[in-house]
Amino acid sequence: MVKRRPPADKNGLSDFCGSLARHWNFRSSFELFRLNRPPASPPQLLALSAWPSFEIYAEKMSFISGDGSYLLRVIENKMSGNLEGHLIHSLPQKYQQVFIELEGLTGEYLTDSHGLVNFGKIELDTSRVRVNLCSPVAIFKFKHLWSCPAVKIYPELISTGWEQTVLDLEYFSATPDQVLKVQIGNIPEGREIARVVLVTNQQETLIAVPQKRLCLFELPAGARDGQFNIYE
Amino acid sequence: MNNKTKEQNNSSPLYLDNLFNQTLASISSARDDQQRVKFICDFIWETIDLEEDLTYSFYLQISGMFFYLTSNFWPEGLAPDDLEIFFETGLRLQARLEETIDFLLFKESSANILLHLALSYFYLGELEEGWKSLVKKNRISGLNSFQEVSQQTKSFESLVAPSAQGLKNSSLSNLELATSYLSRQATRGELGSDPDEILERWGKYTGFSSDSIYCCLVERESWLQAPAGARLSRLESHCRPAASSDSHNTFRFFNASVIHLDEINNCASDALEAADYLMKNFFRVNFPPCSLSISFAEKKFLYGGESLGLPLALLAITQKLLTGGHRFWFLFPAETAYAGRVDLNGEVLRIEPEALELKIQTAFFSGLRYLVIPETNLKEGSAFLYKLLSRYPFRRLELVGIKRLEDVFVDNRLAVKKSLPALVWFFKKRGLVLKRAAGLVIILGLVVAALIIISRNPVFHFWKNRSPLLVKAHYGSLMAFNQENQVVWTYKLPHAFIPESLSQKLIDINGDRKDEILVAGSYRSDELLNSELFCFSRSGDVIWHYKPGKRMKTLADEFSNHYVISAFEIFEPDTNSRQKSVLVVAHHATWYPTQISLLNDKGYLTGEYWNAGYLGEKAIIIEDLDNDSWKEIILGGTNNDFQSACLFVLNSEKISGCSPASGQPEFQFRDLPPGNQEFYLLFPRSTLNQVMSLRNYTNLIEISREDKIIQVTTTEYVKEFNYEIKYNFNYRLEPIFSRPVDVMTEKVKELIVSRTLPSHALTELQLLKERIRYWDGQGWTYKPVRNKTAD
Repeated sequence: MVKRRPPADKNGLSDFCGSLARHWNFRSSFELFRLNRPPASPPQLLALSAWPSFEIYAEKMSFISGDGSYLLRVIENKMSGNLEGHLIHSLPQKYQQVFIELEGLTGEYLTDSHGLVNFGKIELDTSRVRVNLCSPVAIFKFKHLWSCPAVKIYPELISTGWEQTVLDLEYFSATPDQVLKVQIGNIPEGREIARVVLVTNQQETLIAVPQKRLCLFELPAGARDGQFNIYE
Repeated sequence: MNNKTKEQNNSSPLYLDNLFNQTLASISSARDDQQRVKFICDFIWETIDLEEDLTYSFYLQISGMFFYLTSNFWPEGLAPDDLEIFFETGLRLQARLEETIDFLLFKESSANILLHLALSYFYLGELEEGWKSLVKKNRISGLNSFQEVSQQTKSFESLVAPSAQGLKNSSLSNLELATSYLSRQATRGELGSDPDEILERWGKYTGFSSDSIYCCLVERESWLQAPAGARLSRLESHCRPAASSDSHNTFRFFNASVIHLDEINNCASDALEAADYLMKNFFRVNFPPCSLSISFAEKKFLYGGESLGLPLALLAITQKLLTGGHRFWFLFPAETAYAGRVDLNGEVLRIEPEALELKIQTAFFSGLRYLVIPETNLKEGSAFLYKLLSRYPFRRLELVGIKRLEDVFVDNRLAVKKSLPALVWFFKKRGLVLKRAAGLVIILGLVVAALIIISRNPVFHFWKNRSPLLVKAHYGSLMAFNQENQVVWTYKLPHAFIPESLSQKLIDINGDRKDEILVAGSYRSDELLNSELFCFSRSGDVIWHYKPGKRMKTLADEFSNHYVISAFEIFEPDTNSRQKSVLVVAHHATWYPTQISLLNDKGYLTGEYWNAGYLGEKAIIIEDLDNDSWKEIILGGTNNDFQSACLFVLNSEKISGCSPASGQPEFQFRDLPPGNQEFYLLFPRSTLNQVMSLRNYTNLIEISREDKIIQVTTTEYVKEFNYEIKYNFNYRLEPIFSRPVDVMTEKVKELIVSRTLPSHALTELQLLKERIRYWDGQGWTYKPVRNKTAD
């Protein structure tokens, strides 16, 4: 069980509201299992030695995927009280931009390019919490595309069955904001795209929920390179 | 292919998590902080080549502990390589996690590691490397941000230390090398106060102690009890005598590992037996059983082995010597560590080679100078040592092999004999007996002194009759005798009295119902005579004393202050009062003035009268002549001014002034008022007196209270008889008759026949009373009158 508190800062508020609006509807998500061992935390292990508390970052709990390839370590920052998730996998594309659901909490979290996610000040019921992950089914990388108003790009890292998927990009620069229209094509039969994530060269991440395989992104100024991740 | 699989396995999240948890488990069971840090470093260096994102959360979590531990720990016995790794680990962690690491903590950690790195290099004689470490420490301490750290660490490569090759080739010890090198560099100012700190930390390996000793022991861990590493630990011991002399030696090991308690107890028991054996057979001393308390200076020390035997036996010997109060004992140098087993006969037995290697390694990387091991281990020990010396050739650690316990005590490098000077030891050893003897002597002395004092001072003769009856002058003292003629008390005079001059009266003068003794006497002197009157209590205390006279002046002469008391009387001046006064008659030692002093019962002078001539000792009568309750003092003598016998009456209520004067300057006293005497009479001189003698004088005054007659006797001439004339007066001092004594009448007749005297010399004798002169206050008259100025 998870209770989520609204963020105190103004910037985090829009993300918070957006995450509340979105419903976890990933088809290709999978559950992580709680690692049944005491948290690997020196104060617990060294309790008898009566040391002063020097540990700022302490492991709250850890979760592992069924095949053992994913490890999610929930670390508590004792100074701020924030919980951070550290998603680990041997392959970078597997922990970068991965959606995480803490069951019981409306909304979702997305890891950054290092596999980190900030859960904020949430209260985790360590005995009942469940975690789901959704990693991208295909990743499309691009460079300097905005010189052409319309272009097709093809996936570089693909899950099985998503090899034919293609993105039609249309760039609108007439409006005050730069807008990118993304049309997803050649999706395997019976499958649907739940999210499209744009990661720009400036490490900015934009999330879109496609409607009829179409979505629009308001591009940040100077964003030239990046990648699209699509999630089923 | 296999390598690839292994790499994949190493980067597997589950593998990382397991490795991390194993590391934490190892840390929790580590024996000390330096081992904890070592485990952390092992983890970090095993995973350092992995993707940063994989290890980030683990490093984040463990870095706090690393910096906390390394900023406070005090590593010992570590090779510099290990410390270099610690320092490098810190740098790697800060490079990866600089946003989450506290910069001050990082600086403290680096400074502490580098200081110990420097110390480790100085221990090994690697002076230049030690210098570099201290410079690095100082430079990092001066940084303000992580950005500066990477720039600064790059500059470390180009550090060039001042050469110490000449110094290193000398035969100095490592401590001397370091002291000499650091003192040379201290002037350059690059090292700040670090040289002092280095030498201060080295201080634990200097000095001597009789209650602690360094031992190099191997810790064992896990259920297999495998040697985990050697540690240099300070073994402490204190001894006290056993409760009863027939009991056995006892000991208590305070912080021994519970797992190894039996083993340690057996070892300690053997060591104590060996110590006793050595004392008996080598030092030839026997001590009563004692109770020994033993502990390691470090609290967490899981030791279990037998090489504790040698240091324990050595410590037990010196502690027993100290406790037994023996003249000598031993101090063990802190630059020496001991390791070895001992049997009951004091033989030092071989130790396991594996343990020996660890011990030598630990001693090698410490500040020790000597390591004492069994002689049977010396060969292999030397091999281990040479191996280490091939890497650090300037380390001056000596292995000393011994066969038996006593070998330690004959080598000054290993134990220093300390002994007390013979006299000090004798007093310390026999202190109690001597104290008792001294106390006894003092008590005896006090008793003897008390007896002497009591015997010499009659005041303390409590068994005697305490009432003095008689006072005698004896040399310079007055001695009071009781009825049994025993000395009751003595009084030391300022000068000796002439015994013949002593006069005394026993009377209760102050109304306390106890008699006081008034004693007057003249001091024996080669000068003019001098008298003093003392009033003693019954117990011999002086209540008061009075010295008569004063320096008197006439218009022509000055008389010195030398007066002789001729008489003194105690009387009650007022018949209505019990208060007493003392009348003192004192005449000048040479000349004529006589002082009549009146003192109260406290010895204060209340009045005085001066007469220009001597007064007769028996010519004193005190009587109330006029019934006014105040007694009159009737005195007689001679008056030098008028060259004739005199008699005068003073009122005891108040006396003052001096006798009437004729006007001759040598008889007119200065600063004295006219006398307030009630009567002053001058007796006529008979023809016999005028022809045969200087002047007549009053020598006796008697009274008949029944007839109310005062009889006065004047002496006219003295040869074989006293030729006297007797005058009778009534209480108003009116003459009743004058009559010569028979011898005088016969003498006058004889002298008339021989025509020496004229014929009227006989007839005048009956008429002398007609020629008595009275002072009326203004002049002389032949009528009996009272002095008009008396009131």
